[in-house]
Amino acid sequence: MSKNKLGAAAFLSLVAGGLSLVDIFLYRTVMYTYQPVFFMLAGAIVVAVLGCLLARVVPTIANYFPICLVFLLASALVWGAMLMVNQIGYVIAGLDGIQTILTYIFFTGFTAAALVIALVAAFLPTGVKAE
Amino acid sequence: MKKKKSTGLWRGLTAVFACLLALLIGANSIAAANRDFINTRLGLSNYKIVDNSNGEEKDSIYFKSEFSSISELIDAKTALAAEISSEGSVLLKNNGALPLDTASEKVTLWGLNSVHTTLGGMIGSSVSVSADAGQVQYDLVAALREKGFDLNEEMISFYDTDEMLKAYGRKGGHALTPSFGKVYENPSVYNIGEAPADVYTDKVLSSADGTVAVVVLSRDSSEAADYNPNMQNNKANKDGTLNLTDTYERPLALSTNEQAMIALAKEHSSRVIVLINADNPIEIEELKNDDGIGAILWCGLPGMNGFLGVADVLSGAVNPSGHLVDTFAVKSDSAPAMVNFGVYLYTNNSKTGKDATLINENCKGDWYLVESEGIYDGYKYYETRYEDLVLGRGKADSDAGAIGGAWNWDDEVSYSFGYGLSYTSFEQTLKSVDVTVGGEGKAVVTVKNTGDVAGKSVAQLYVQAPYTEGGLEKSAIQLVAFGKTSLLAPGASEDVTITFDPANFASYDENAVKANGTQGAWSLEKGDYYFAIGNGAHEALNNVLAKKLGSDDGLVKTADTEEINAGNAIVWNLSATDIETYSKNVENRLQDMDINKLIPGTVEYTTRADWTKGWEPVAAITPTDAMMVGLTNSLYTLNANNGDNGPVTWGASNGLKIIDAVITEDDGTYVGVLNFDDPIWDQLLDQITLDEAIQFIEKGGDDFENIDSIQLPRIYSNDGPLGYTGDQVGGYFVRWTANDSASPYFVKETDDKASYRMAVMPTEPVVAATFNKELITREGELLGEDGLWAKESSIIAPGMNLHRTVYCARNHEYYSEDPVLTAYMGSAISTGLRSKGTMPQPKHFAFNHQEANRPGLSTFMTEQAARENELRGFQMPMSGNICQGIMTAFNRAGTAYSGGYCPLLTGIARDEWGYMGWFVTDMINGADYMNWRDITAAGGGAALTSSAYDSSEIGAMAASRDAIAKDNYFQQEMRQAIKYYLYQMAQSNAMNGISSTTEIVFVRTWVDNALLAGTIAMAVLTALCLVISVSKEFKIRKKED
Repeated sequence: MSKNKLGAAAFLSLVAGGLSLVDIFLYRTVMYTYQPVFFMLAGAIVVAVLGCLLARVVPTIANYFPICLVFLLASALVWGAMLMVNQIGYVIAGLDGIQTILTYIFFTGFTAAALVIALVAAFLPTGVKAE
Repeated sequence: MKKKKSTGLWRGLTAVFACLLALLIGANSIAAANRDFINTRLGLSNYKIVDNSNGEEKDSIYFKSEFSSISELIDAKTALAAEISSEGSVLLKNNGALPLDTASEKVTLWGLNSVHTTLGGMIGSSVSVSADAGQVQYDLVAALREKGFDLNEEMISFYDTDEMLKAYGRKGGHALTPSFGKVYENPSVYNIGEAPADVYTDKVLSSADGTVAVVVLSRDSSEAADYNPNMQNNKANKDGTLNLTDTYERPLALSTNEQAMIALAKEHSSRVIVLINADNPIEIEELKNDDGIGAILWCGLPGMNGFLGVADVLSGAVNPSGHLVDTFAVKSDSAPAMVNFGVYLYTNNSKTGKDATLINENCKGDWYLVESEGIYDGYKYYETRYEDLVLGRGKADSDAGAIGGAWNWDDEVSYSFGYGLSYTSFEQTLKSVDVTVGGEGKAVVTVKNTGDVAGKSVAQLYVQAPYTEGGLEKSAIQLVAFGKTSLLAPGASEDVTITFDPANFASYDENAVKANGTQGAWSLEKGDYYFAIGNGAHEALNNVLAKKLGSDDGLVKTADTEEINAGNAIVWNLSATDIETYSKNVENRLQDMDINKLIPGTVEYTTRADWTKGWEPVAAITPTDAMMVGLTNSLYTLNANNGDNGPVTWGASNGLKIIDAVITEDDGTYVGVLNFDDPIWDQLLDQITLDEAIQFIEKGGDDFENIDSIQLPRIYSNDGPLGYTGDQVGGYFVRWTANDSASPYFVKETDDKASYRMAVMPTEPVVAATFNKELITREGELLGEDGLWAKESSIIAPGMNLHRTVYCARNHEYYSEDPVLTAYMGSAISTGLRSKGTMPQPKHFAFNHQEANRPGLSTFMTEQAARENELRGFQMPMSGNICQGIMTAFNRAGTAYSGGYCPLLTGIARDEWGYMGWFVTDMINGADYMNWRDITAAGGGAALTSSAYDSSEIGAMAASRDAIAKDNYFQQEMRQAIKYYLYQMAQSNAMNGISSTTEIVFVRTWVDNALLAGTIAMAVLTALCLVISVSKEFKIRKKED
């Protein structure tokens, strides 16, 4: 059992999970927040960690965790925009300053980065079974 | 290795499709929440009117256009906008410099702002143009060229460079900085935009030699911004520090660059005409007294086409007949209303660290404004103090509030409210005044053109009510009504009959106790009432004083042209004080808007009993516990025990449609709607489901939600005061979809002029300066025509707040410092609008007097001031049910949000005035203080929001459905609010195309279908890839085993 190794996806998932943790702090500072987004991000962290833990035990199953990770991060990305649409419109229309959506932009950037990393991870093995 | 790679690929693909699936699921929800926005942008609609009459349908166009195409309408609007601007231009001074002889005289435009004129304000009254479609925007240069003026092109070329604009100018004529955010310091920067004298080359200066100078002085306007006396030029040096080469004492005073430019104009030109392109009065006393200035013409912000009319005035094609809507003070901040203008913070505001208790972001309760001037706004201050000075009363001659030394009118005022000259001269005679308390008043003024040019003249009727020293505060003079002559040829005369409502000069006595025992009444005190006419408030008051004193000795004139004539004042005597006639249902309701009633002794109000009082700002206020309720919490809590009228019926099957409330002739000709008390309305309301009602109230505003159960279509409503603003409705085609092609007013995107912008009218001060009710009714008709041709059923206009101070940068959307002029203008445009089925929706009810921190600003004043000034402006169109909707304000009335302030909405508007239109909030911007619970419970209407409540502490209305369903009182208020909407919407062009044989059906748009198809496809692909991946994994495992 212990001879199973962590694959590249495990490390990438951890990076994505780490970014999700940063995202939670970033999202708290966004002007209008949607509560489920916090759960999505927290779920992403749990999935990333769990995937790594299971990689040594049941690597075949752990390999599918990045898919969940991708789904959660993509959901966080899109639902995070739900309550910011109007505010973005105000900024584009020149009615409000860019500073009002700055943290949202950072949040979006970090989430998108985590999502891309998770997508790459999904193509790679999380756990590698010992030969 | 090869096998593992293969599995990874399918896993990866699964992830890719899962990613897209997640994004599409979210996109579906966002699209659903913003469906109308998307539909509008893409020319789509989810509803379609289907005719089931088998070809026997009746004429269902209840409101018809007088035009056969939008081209005709656009031409009519262009001409009218120019006409309004020409009639709204105010000639303040003329030593024969005007009019110009365009055939022989060359004109040099002076001032960088002459090529960057300001046409409108920023945001709701912005001016944009569909240039690609060929729409033309007439700035000053374009208008003068169009009208054939011979212009000094060298000077224009000199100014009109990117370098000049970048170095000194105001892009697009604007320099104010609008902000929807919170402001904790007064705005400190403003760039007037004038170039310094040393940049003028000898060559360009010599090009002006011998020409006529038209010097342009300009200030801009904006929503969400204010001027402040402490502002400085904000053009930055390269190192980031301010370039203070163009300095000024106040932003509404002349700057050093402007003064230097005027000096150059005087030096090089044969004569100098000053054109004031600003809606906020600027300080022009030095120009008034300067013999080198031949004429001063105020044109305000004239909108997209207005400079065409201004050009006509300059050339003499039109004789000016406009009159000032605001006092032009010598020093713009000398009015007592300026004492507390700006940013004032409660002591427990959210920035005070551990002492902060106003910490809810969405409550926006940090600021207050105390209107310490009482009733003495604008000319009511300057003229009342002037009378007291003349009569030696109330320490009027003290230096308190004076520019310097003892106060006197001549030092304080350049031009009074109502002042305006003509190219001809008129003789006005007040022939008679008849007053019937409880009835109609009538005055007859004979106007004779005694000059040699044809022109129109405004007969302004003022009154002075009897005042007892130390008694009820009263303005020494106030506008009662006005009338305008037709174009009078030289030597011609006309009797102008002015009718008026005596209620408009009643005073509100907070201490009066009526026969029914309630306190607070409209009072006509016994004594002599002096009715007078005059060229403005000052001349009228001088006529009154001459009548009272029997002489004009010691009276101060505005200019030599002013005539003091005691014969133009007529006395009417009331033998006994009357506090009953105008006080039906009236009682004190706004006592908690008076800070002294909440915290005694907080403010010293301006009083004519002692003019030395009222000059100290209220520097700090610590809210009481009672005030904190309004500042921090919602006032209403949903409760199952609320309401004692039994359960409310929702979702009944009565088989009625909204169109059943519309009365037509047999041939379909529109007659009207059922009486408000008709039981059909209740049966219609019974059919509505609670979910529909919630949706209607929570998501109202720019467009009102359809109510399928009664076949009410989605109804569009947009800004603004100049016409439908381009950033909300970018052309006539925007609201139409292919589903509407049967409408006679259908406009396709590809049609000629389909994208023409509709906001082409002059700003409100220019409109009001015409003093021409018929002309403004016509403006309403043409804006109503826009509604027909653009599929808009309501317009968020006009703005009807008062110009309480000249520093409010939103004044361009409001008419005047005078409530009676405001009332007549608002009523006139509303009359025109509704004649075409476009529902007028004046704003901002009420007391929006300062744009800085308008969201949540606690606004305090006496009830007398509130009723006699601001509310008197709104009362006429609302009590006469001329307007059909009202937009509430951002600010608080006292500590309660104005849109959820029951004493104002229900007490005064409904119970006292009998208003039967709807209320709607301004854009929800701070969702907890502008919360749906307080709004509905107070008798308000819909909230202008799409999803703002989702992010609030109180949450979305739909999320509280169960609690709402248990609160009968709340549901009854919801029903009543919707009833007012239905009653008005049935009287609008929204009914066009709907008949008893039509049906509104839901249709899916291609966007709906695409999103759904995409989501299903991604779900299938995700599942497929997952299955393949897992099955491959199993095969690998099996092989390995």
